[in-house]
Amino acid sequence: MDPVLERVRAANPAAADDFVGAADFAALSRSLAPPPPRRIRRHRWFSVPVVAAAIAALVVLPASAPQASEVLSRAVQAVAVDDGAILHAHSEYSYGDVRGSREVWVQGDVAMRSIDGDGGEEAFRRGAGTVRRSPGGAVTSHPETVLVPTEIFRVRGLLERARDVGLSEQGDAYVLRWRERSGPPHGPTIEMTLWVDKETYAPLRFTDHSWGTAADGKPFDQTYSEQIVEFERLPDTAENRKLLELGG
Amino acid sequence: MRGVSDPQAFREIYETHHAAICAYFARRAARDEVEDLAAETFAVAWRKLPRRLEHPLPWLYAVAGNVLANHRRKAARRGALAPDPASGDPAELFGGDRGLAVAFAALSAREREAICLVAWEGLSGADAARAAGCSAATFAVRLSRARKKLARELEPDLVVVSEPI
Repeated sequence: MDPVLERVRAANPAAADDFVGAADFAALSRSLAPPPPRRIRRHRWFSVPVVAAAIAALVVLPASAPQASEVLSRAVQAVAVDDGAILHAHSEYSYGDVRGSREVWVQGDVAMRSIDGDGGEEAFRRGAGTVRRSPGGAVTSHPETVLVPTEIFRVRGLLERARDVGLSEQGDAYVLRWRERSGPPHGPTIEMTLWVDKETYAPLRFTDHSWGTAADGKPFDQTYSEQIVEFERLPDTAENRKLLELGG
Repeated sequence: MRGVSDPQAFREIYETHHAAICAYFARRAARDEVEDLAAETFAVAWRKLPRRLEHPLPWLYAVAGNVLANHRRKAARRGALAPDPASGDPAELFGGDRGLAVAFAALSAREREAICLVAWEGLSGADAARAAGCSAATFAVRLSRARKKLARELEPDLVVVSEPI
């Protein structure tokens, strides 16, 4: 028995038993009920100062907000899987004219499974490679193919190497924005933006915006955007590992 | 993240864990704030609790930690005095063990929380890590350092030989 922890335990100032019977779900339900609908008075136009104030509200943090380093640290922790946990995300993505949805399960760099909105499915396991099932149902094996999870799952590495991360606030989200190191041949500017939930620090949305002049001399401006519909952390159990297998 | 969609399932979670969450706040905040802080925690849980969470208590403690941090930031912004480690805050009263209260004050907030999650909330290392929002390995190191530091503060000549968790 550890004497230090025992002394702390003995000094416990409150016990759960003190609150048994205090739960009042009806009262909580009333507080959770949506407010009655309000009549919305529509403004036909906004003055420039009103618009400017609205924009400023998106980027100015109140004095009580946490520092960027704290948000950064918690956002990194939210996607950490050092204990073997499985991250699961259901997201909608867009890139140029391409739009789609996908569901992905990732267990570190050990295993990953992805289901696209069109029904196509891929499962990767380190040492075994990738198995694919086309939307039509044909299954093929690709032992040499390594699947790399989308940025949401790699955001820990991205954030850890990021410098000068900017922090702002937008509704229920903190917004982290940083530039990625660029390079030859055409050195585009690459700006990453991550929206994280203010309460859980789980990722809500991610964009990868790059612009500049392409190798052929033509200007380009592209944005990959991923909206997280659901994000959760699953324990490493036999049942959850099945989610990493094709058809799991 | 989608919230839990089944009101009955949420009610079971609320009724199962309400007392534990209230006790969590009673150890760290004024008693008259406990009910409001617990209600705020479950309001967040209603919106954000993952649908398939098998073991929600550590997740609820993590939310409670964020609710408490926001509450303290707002209090600080209003100019409220910081808790006195040896007299004012119930989290620091330690059942009248003044020596422990003084020793605890020498720990960082993270170190205090690591000790409390294990000693007061009775969480395992893995669950305490989830509540603290870090990996189990990180938490084990944090707890070990916190224990050693607390032991030194309590008894400068004490040699810590055991490493629980």
